[in-house]
Amino acid sequence: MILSCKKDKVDPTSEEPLTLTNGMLVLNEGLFQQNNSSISWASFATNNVQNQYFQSRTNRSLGDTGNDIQRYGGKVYVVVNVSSTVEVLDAKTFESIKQIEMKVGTAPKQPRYITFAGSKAYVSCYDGYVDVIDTTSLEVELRILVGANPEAMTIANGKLYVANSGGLNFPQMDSTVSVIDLASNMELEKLTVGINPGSVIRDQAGDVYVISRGDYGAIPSRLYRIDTQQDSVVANFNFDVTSICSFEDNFLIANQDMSSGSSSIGLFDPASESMVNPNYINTTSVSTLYAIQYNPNDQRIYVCDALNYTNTGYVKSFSNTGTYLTEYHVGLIPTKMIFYE
Amino acid sequence: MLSLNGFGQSDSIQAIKEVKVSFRPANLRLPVSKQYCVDRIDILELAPNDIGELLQRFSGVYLKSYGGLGGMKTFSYRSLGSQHASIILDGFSLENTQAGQVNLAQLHTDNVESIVKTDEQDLAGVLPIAGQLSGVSYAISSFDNSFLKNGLFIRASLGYGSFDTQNSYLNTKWQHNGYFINASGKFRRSDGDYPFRFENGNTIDRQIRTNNAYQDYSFGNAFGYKKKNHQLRLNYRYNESEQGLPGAVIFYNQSADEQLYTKLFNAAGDYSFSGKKLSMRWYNTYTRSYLRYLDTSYLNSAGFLDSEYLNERVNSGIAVNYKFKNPRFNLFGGTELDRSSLISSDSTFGEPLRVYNRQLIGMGAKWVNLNAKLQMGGHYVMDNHELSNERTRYKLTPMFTLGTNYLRPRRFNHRISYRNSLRLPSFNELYYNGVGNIALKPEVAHQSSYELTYEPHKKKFLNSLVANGYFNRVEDLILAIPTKNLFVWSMQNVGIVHVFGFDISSKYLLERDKISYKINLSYSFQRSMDMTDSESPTYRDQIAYIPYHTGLMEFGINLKQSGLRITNSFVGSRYSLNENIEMNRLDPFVITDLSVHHVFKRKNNNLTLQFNIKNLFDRSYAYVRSYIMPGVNYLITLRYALH
Repeated sequence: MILSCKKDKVDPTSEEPLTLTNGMLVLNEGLFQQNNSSISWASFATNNVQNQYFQSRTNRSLGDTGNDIQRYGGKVYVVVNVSSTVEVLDAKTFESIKQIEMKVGTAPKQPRYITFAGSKAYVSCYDGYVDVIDTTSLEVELRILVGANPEAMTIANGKLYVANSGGLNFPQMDSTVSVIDLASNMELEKLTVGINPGSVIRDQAGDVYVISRGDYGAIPSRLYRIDTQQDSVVANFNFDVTSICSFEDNFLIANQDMSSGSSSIGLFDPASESMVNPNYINTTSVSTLYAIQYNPNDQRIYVCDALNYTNTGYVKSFSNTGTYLTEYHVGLIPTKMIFYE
Repeated sequence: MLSLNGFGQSDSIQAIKEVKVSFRPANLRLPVSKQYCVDRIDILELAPNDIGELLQRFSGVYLKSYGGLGGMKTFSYRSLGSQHASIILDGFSLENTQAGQVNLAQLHTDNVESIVKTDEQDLAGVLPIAGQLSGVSYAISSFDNSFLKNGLFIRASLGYGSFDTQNSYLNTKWQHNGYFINASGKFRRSDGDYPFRFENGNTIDRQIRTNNAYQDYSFGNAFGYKKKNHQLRLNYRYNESEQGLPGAVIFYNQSADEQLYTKLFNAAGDYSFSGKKLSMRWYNTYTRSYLRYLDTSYLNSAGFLDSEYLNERVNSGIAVNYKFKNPRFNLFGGTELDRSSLISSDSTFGEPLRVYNRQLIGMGAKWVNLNAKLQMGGHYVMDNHELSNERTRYKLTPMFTLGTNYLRPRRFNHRISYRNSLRLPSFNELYYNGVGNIALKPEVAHQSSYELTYEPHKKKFLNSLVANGYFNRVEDLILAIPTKNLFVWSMQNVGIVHVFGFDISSKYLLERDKISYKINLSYSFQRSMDMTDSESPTYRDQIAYIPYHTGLMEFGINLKQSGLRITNSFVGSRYSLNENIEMNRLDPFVITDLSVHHVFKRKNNNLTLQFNIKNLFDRSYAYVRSYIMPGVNYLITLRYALH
């Protein structure tokens, strides 16, 4: 036929690095049932982006819906939710070390998040457990029963705090945080916060903050503070929040209002428990504020822009005073970064 | 134009002369180009699993199939979603208010005589108003509801194929002095565990599709009475199915536990009158559709998800056509009322109700060799739901055509047309569990086209040729987009799409001694652009799941009572999302099917033995991303027909 198709748009790419330095790995969630989760490598030296970096280093796809990526010791761990795997890779060369199948028999556990303490990795699984993985043998050693559909976790005061979302019981979602004693691997108690808890973060003083995401309707999202000495919920804050990250001694509080399309990033001081500046960063250049992280190495703030969730997104960088610096065109729905010096 | 009629034929594969639609009153002529028709021969030789596999033979149609036997099938026509199309079975429109589109996999083909594309045909006075007002209509005519000559007719078949597929079918009809009664039944099952291979990075993975078993049965009766200009028909059909849902092929996770159960009851009746001046048809339908979805490994607190839905629809309408004393003019119109309701076990869904009234008025005119038709449709929609206030809408949809009607030896004909159609939001789109949006407006499509037809003398090798060029504009496109977070998508009217394209199809027939050769060629080009937002990265990108190029190349040869047909279907590359990047590109494919048969004839008895090989070269392909279709598979069929 004489008629020719319109050419594909070309992704910005550069030569593939063999040793990872001075840049960031970006986990792109991809879309449910499309097998298009991916990892991008962005170089801070050249600002070039190598998309599909996982596939180019391993010759295979990451799978469906990557949800979390963390570096611990010499390894990178990638939690892939719908494929039900944890990919373990060498942190420097990004060569695959092991793919851990997260299944009970043939039933997928649907892992969500990972966190670490000592020689153990803790993986929250949507089937209501936290799996304990030995970071040397990379075997699942133990399953700790928690609440319904656990999401993010953090460790404080020798305990693991797990947000039980109960998201699959919509509209009757969960509203608890499981407190696990890491010495005995036993659940000590469940603390009640707002409905549909998701993100969890610890401040410098050892307190834990939980985002309860509400019901996406009449019940708004809210932030709760847990005193980890007493294991009690001691405060909640009257502002909307969709994601949170540490920013030196403070937090950055991000909110994306999907109904209006507006977003904001505020500066929150956990010491005084107050919002210092509700509009710390001007987000007019961000279409869909999906996640936020601070890189203490270069003292920059990185914001994931998921656009409309069906177009490949951007990671946008800002100075620590909130000045826009540059952007990186990455994969579909960027959600988390690992920074390299 | 040729007038085609395939009824009264015995169920053997032999030259077909005419095709008509089953609901056509006796003395109404229906000009049907061969390009707009899939006839009985096609259906028998292709041995399709369902109507969806036949619809993709029409130019401009792109099938979205989620798997083999029983797998969900929908389609788009010239980039318009199937909600803009009407599927008319024996003159009764099939609609699904819950999902918005008919699952073509539920429509069998054993009893189908023909499928005719009727968007620009003169069917005023017989086609339901829903069909006359939709963007395009496909009229399916079945053996069950057709008047034949007097006598006893039997059709039966037994089939066995790959993946332990078994099917059996029996249909009997007796007609005497204007009466007919009909009884039919069908059973089929399949393990469905087909092997497939797919690309994962630089490796090819081979696996077996699991949780893909399918079983269904159906039965029905039909009654008809015809005397002079009057015709009465009554029928019902019950269908029950049970199937596993294999879901998408997920890398590293092949588990699938979802099950789907359906029970579908349909009763319909119509009365037609066709006089010299006045012809009319009164039609009524009742449909009760039960659906149960069960996921035994859902990770909620109960450990499973079990949802039931009951969708009921009552439809009644009248279509009228009046020819003036001056034969150049005719006036047509009618009205149709639909009442649809849904009850579900899902407490968040509520109990929606829709009352939908369509009105039509129009006129046709002929002058020398010119035909013109002008019509106006009215759509009154009332949506009610306990969780929201009652909402009403009224929309008008105009349409006109102007064309030539030269008969031989002037063999070229031209036609231009404009058509405006609506696609109402479904109950799922309005109310489903957090996704629904009660503020949705109807999606509007404007279609304009030019058509050229060429039909030389039938003894020539080239039998017919049709070429179309078209431009469509879709406004208020209904799309699912996230409005709260990634897990909570919602339906919105956000899109504008421009579509331009052309298709060309030709049929060739050569008969020498007792051998006949047949060639079908068709090609379609579609450029379907996202024009929603000039700032968007997908502005002017090709819309997802619309291939630029599709084509069909088919060769058939018949020698006495034996025949062979080779069909090559081509689907060009397309994208799984609107962003036209390599990551979203789906590979093009060509699928080759082979069919051979032999007919044993004795008086009025025909016994046909047929062997089909589908996907002859074992291609790995998918219409929908992550839904890999079966590789090479076989089907052997023994078919008997009396009369």
